[in-house]
Amino acid sequence: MALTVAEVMNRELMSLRAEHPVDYALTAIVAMGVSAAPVVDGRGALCGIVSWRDLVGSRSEVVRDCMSRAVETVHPEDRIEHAAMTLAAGGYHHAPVVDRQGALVGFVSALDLLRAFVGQPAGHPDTFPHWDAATRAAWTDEEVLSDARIGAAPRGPGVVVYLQGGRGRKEEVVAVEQTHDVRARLLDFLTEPAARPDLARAFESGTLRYRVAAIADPAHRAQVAAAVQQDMEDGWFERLLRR
Amino acid sequence: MTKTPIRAYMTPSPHTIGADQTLEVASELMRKHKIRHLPVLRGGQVVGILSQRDVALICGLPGVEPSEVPVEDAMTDAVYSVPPETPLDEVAATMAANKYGAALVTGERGRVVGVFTTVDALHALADGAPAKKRRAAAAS
Repeated sequence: MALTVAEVMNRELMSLRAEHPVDYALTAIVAMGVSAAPVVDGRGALCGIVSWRDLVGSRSEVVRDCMSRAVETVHPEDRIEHAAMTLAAGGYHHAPVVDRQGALVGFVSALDLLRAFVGQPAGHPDTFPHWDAATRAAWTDEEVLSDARIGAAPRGPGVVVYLQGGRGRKEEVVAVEQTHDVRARLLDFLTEPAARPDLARAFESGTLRYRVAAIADPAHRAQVAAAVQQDMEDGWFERLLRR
Repeated sequence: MTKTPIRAYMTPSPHTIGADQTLEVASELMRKHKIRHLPVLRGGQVVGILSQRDVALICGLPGVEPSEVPVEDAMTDAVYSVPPETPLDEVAATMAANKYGAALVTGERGRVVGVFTTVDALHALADGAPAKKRRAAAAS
């Protein structure tokens, strides 16, 4: 086995800034489904790593004051045995991957390496959800609204944005709504589309799509729904779509 | 090497916590001992496992007070536990496939005798060093 770190690392990088508030960092990490993230300075250079353990119950106000500054890094061309020894020796569960110029190019976890050792493929998603810093919500990829594509919808509370357009036509937000059960709400619509005249035409033409942000806190959910609703004409959501 | 029993690589006698303890106590225990998983016991029997991720998820919710939430409300009921004689390769493959952060090693009558984490797995697979040798090397 001669696998290298480059073959198993996560190339989709989520990084935090040293000046980010602790509650912001924790919300972002929860929303992205990761347990740690590299921390970069204003020029994008690696300056630390911060994990759940650092953030939960921390009395610090900003990431800089609770992150780990002594960071073990590995290189993309390192063999996985070397990376495993590096993590194991320090008891680390993650390591930033930097190239020879010191630029951050990936992130590798103990689980990534373990999967490689036992011959299993890396388990990263192709992309993270789309994180919107303004509303502190992570949006799913865009999906056509149909029975076959309902799998992206979480069984739980969140905000749903219905979109229309694409394939050469300008995309626009048709409707926004918050619900205590996203999957149930979408299934209700698919069962009886005529009950929602505002969506039915786009649905019948096969151009109705959706994105979802799973949000447990009712106040945050209302805030996000209101922000999207208010900014529909200002292009906030279009900016999100381009990312 | 990978057929070696998991007991050679586990951390013996891990810290545990009672199901009726609070998340504040659990969080402090994790922080103090720099551990990410706590076997949860009731009447001496394992009833779940509490991870740092579980604690963070609950404590991250607005209005939640860690000193008022019992461990059993945040723990995971489904525990991956193995007998001490289980081969390393079998445990490592199961953990990797299911993204488990730890395996509990349980002996007679379900008593917890050790814990085996992903970092333990890296030690075992990368350098083949059992836990006892690592501790001896660290102490010297």
